[in-house]
Amino acid sequence: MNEYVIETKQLSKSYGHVKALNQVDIRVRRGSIYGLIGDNGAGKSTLLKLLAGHVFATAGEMRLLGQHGEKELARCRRRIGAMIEQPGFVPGMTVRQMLEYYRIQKGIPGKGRVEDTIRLVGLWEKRSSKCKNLSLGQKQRLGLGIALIGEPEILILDEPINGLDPSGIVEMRGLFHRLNEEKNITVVLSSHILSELEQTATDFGFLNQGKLLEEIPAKQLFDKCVDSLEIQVSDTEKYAALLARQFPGEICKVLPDQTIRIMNPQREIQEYSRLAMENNLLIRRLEKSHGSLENYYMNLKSGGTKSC
Amino acid sequence: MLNYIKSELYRTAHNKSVYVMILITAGLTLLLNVLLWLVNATTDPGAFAYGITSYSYSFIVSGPTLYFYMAFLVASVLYEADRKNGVQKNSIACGITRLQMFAGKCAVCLFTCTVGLAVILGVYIGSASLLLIHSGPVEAADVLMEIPAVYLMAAAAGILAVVLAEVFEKTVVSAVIWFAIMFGIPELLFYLGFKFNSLWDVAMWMPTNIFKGIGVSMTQCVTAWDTPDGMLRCLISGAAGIVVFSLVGAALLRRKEY
Repeated sequence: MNEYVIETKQLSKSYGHVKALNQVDIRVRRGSIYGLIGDNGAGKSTLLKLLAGHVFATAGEMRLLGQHGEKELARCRRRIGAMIEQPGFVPGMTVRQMLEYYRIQKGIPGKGRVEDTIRLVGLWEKRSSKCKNLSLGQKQRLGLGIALIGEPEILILDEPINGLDPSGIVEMRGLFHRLNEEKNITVVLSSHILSELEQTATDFGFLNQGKLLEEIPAKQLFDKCVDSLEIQVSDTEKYAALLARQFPGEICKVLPDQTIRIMNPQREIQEYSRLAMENNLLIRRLEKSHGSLENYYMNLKSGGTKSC
Repeated sequence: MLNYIKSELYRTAHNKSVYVMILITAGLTLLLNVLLWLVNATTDPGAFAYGITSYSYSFIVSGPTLYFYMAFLVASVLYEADRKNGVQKNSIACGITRLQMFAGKCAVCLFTCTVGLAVILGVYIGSASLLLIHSGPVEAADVLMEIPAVYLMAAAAGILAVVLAEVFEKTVVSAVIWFAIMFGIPELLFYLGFKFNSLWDVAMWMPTNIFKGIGVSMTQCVTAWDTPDGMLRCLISGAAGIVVFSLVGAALLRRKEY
């Protein structure tokens, strides 16, 4: 069995002159929860739409469950569940009817699956409600139900916790973990709520302006997510040189806006400010932040121009 | 694809608009016959010439394009909101190909039209037979003979409607283009055919131009499908329309993005 259920090679997608996705190579391990992170317009939805078959790639290759080619991918998609952007449903049908429609479409025998799915996504009390009368969060749950009805091997979800209340978010997180652990379903989900992905994903892919910045397992990522100190002074070059001389071993980067970011500072904050003052440097900003996925992503995005 | 068709039939069966449309259309035919009967019953004998089955049947025998309009309406009712609802995205993510969706929708549209036709004609012919005087040149058999003659053409009209519903977001735009293709282009070719013989030959294979030979009145019933040649022409025209619109649909929808 292939270790990777999703592989893309130089995958690109352009809409006219706009390159929404630019030579992206991702690999999603079987049984993982892959968190796709990026700003609005980074290319997350485009990548997921390509995987779900909603759009066609301009260039590059994509493999699902080891298969490629249009016909083979269409066949593979029967083993996939997806919810991309707004979930689609017929407004006049009830929750039960909508799931029954997709049960028939997927050729799943036995109506019991519909009831099981309704319970799984927490819509049992709304089973006879028309889709148009559901709240945003309930629609999200229905969309998830549609994705799950076929007991997929891969679940592709675009911002699945949009519109959910706090308890709904916790419930959904638990559901993803349960599906992943009990049924070994591989989950690919995108979000810009980084704190949520932090608690859920086992692997991360960072997208920015259509390009993949990094792909990294969670363990490695959390090792890298360290505290940092940011300082802006009147003479960045001089301060950077002072840091290298006086505090050897400190890891720092000079950002495009001339902020010096010191990763995992070894000393007290006063020592850094004293260093500036003793050398007649004016401190414009001094800020300490704790290591988080958010900081890691912002740092990754900004790139940094040079190290100290 | 069979599963997709089954799911679409399930969806259609739970679509109230379809039932309403069939009910209204059947109701209108019943209303027509009831009105004719009522006027006949409340008028001096012989004073009202239209209280006969022939007059009632002549509406549909002289206007076979009504079947085309019904096909368009059914396709619109079934599929106009699909783009907005995003239902198709889920189907694609389920592994249904675009061509399978297109073929499935055409099949379901055709089935729904056929069932609707059976109900409407049942009410129409049934109420006319029960309420009106059996007289005149147009008979129930003429109405029934019209069905095989026009069926393939109506199917082609339905397929075109499905294609346009997929391509265009607004039903109004689909309707205008559908009308232009079904009626406008044949009419244009008809008049150009007076100037160019080759265009005339093409024009006379188009449904609305084939129907130009229909002569239905209180004294006669001459239809385009009266003769074997006429019936064959209708069938070939319909079959050609199905092939052409299916190929156009497949070409346009094969790489459609959602």
